[in-house]
Amino acid sequence: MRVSFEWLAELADAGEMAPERAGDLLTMAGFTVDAIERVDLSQILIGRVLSQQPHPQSRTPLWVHEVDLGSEVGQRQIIAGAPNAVPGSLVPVALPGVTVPNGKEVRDAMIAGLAGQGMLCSREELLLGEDPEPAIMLLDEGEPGRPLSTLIPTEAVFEVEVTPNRPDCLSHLGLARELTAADGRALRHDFMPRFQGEAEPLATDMLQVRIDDPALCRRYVAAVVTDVTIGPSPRWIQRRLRAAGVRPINNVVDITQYVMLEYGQPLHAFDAARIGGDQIVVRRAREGEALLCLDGVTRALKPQMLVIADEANAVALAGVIGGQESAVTSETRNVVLEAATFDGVNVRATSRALRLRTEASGRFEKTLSPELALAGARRAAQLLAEIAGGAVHRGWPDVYPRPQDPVRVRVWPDKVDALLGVHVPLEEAEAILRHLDFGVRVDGQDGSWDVLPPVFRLDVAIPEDVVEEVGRIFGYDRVPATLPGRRQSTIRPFQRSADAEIDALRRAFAAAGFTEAVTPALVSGRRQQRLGLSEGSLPLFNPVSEEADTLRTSLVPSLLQVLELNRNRGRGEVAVFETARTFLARPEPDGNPLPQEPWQLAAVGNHGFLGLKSVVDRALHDLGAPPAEYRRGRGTLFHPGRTAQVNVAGQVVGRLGELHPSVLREFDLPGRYTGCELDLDALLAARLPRSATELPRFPAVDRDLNVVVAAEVEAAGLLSTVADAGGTLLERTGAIDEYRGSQVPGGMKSVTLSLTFRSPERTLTDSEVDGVMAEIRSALEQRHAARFRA
Amino acid sequence: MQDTFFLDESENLVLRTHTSPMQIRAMERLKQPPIYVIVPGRVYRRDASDPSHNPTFMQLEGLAVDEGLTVGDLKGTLTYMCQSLFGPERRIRMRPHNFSYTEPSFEFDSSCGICGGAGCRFCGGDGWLEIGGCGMVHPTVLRNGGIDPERYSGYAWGFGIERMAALKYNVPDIRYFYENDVRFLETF
Repeated sequence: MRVSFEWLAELADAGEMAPERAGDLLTMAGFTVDAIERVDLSQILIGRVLSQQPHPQSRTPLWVHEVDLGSEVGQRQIIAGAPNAVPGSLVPVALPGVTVPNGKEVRDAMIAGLAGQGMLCSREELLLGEDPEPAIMLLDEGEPGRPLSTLIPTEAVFEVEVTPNRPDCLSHLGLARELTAADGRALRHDFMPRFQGEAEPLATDMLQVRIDDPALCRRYVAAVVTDVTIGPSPRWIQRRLRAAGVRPINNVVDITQYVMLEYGQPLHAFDAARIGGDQIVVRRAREGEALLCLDGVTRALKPQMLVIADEANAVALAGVIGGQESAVTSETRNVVLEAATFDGVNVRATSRALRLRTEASGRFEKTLSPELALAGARRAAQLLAEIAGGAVHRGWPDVYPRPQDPVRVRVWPDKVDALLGVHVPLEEAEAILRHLDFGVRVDGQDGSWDVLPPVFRLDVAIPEDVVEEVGRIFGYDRVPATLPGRRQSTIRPFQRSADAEIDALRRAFAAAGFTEAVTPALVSGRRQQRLGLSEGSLPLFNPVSEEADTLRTSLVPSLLQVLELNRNRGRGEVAVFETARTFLARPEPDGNPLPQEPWQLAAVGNHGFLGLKSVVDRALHDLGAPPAEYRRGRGTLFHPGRTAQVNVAGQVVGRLGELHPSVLREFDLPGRYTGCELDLDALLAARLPRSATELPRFPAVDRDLNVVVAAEVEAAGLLSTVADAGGTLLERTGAIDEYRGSQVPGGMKSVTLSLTFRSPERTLTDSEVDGVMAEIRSALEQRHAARFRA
Repeated sequence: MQDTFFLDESENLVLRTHTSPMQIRAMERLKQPPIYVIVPGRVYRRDASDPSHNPTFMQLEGLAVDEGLTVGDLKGTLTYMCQSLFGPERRIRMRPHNFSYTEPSFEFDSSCGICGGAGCRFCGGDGWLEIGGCGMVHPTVLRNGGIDPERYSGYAWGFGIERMAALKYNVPDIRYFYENDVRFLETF
């Protein structure tokens, strides 16, 4: 919210306080002042335009002005790009060397061949608001050569962040109360103005008000003001509105805006002549009803929307925007002033459905106190009488079927110290609450406090809320920093998190030259579909972009995208891995509404099949999982003939292989890449406790065996046959090489197995090993039709 | 609520926008105070991506529930954390704020490492860098977690991990963390 410091300081009796000090006090009280803009116009001069000619050389539209800056400065030639500074206009001028409020420094300049000796300023450059088109600010009055600050005094504007629980502080009065409390004083300003109007006849005889849906409108106050004179607002109102970022329109509309900014209560003024039947009905919109709104747009209304209607038609959309037909115009004589309390949820729904957020809807959404409606109405009526010369009729329609319940919070004052961790003297705590307009009654019996929040505070309900009030005004910078801790009787052994457990895998991949990546979980659903990964994929209902509209079902495409990016930036030899969750819809609804979230490790690089396999083997070993067995496998992204299923402890835990060329094409990656996907939960579950075995005392005998088998026979099958036939003397076995080519017949391959034999009891003889080798050979012949090469 | 991603039209399934749901889970699992946990995790916001926003990012949330915990203990914990991460000269500022899980609530800032709090371009002139949100656990949250708010109190705090890392390592653009240019990754 934009806050005029001059306005705030007047309400808070803080005229002497520096804006920075006020900003700090508000920030530490919970109203963060994000910025203090200063509008110092003492360096800007008032000038009168004597002549305006199009620039003869410039290609862009520019005008050359002769400007009178009074007797001291004389005349200057100034070039500007907006056409509205016609001869006779009074304009703000910044001479070379001056820095205008938005930070721009003005210099002497040659502009398309002509000397420019200063700048004509726009509202935006002077931080006085925005102009609709690029335009020079035009002044209504002023003496050439005098500083602009003679018309517009120097002021500061705060940008204040008001949390949604404090709509009462979306107002200068609310913030003034906070500022005075933070300054150790009470606000000298009654919440409820006394003004009620005196003109006859009674307003209730001039206007009927009916609420058809009291759940959506808790209160409707209407004031009737006759014989107003529509015209511009006085300068002080215009200045304050502009500082707060509101464009002045006319005195009546300006007063509704002014009081909203002062009290926080949105108000609306109707032209009374346009309220048919002299009655106001607060009802739901009818099917097919439409309203031409103040912004010139006709909106179709839905029956769940609340409208203000006269005897026949909707005249305003409750809490959101007024209607154009009933708006105050320069012809208006009599005004109906509305101050109502609309239901926040309903206003929000209407505003969302129409995609129309207004200053009023933003406030109602946060739920306002109905007590605020009367205060706002009285203040606005008073200003209408004072400024617009209207006669305010007494006896206002005020429909308020169910008055707001008073709130009472019982607090034991020692709660303050116990929660804050600092001693707050009782008198100080009580004074803070009173400065914030809370009532405090001390119970003589038990010393507890009966705390009564002011009517406009709907956010205080429990003792902790009261402690917070004391704390934020007392000052959290006065709370000493301490560390918790005490003697514990519960002992919970340290348990590493799963994420820390898989550090072994991370280290193994990093040691092999892989870089760890963290990629977004939201991916392009269309790409996921092109890659054949859309099974179980979960699209977002409200994505922001097509590139990120679906939860990923695999990490591999994200990693390929990383390779693509790095390759495009000149780094072709990159290998990456990631550990993250993927997301899969449950194939069958089983009562759990949440998707499956398999935790995966994926890696991609150009290490080749055996290269990547050795990294995985090392990683599993470091993790403490049993060695993997690789069987022929397949996977959506993988090359069918060059892919293995990774099995650990008899369970499939992932796959490893060459990525399919069509997948690589999707990412514009030439050449071959291998990748793997591993299920981390399965790997963690498969870990075995590490356990040492007695070291062998007798030497081992190593043998190699070249087995020629049909090409489709898997090495893993050969190894398990060897293990079965090798008996207890076979200590270890592995496949170390595979060969296809001219040395073996077509359709066959040669696999080199390495075998290690050892007995725990004796040194083995060659003939003993030969005997076992013969059994292994014959088992291989029988089961795999194997032949043997030397 | 506009900043939440939904998986279905009825808005039953959402991608979490913060890590605070873990508070209730931690209390349900550990049951009996003392409870001192920290939880990192991925969160999702419906933000357009720019140098300081990304639709996916990581948060870290801490929760302490014990007898006699105070705002002062929260302040001490935040001070310890920021001084450990950024250096012993750092100071902490807590600004009252509003969150639904805590009462009272705060946003917390660290003094700027460049100017030491005097105000400079890096911190936008006010000497403080916004780090995250925190507060004393709301009594209703404790009650929902099966913990008696009359006997125990608690505090919680959270912040964006990327933002912290960006402050610590001068990362100019938060999107670097998800783009994975190896020249960036190799810095670490």
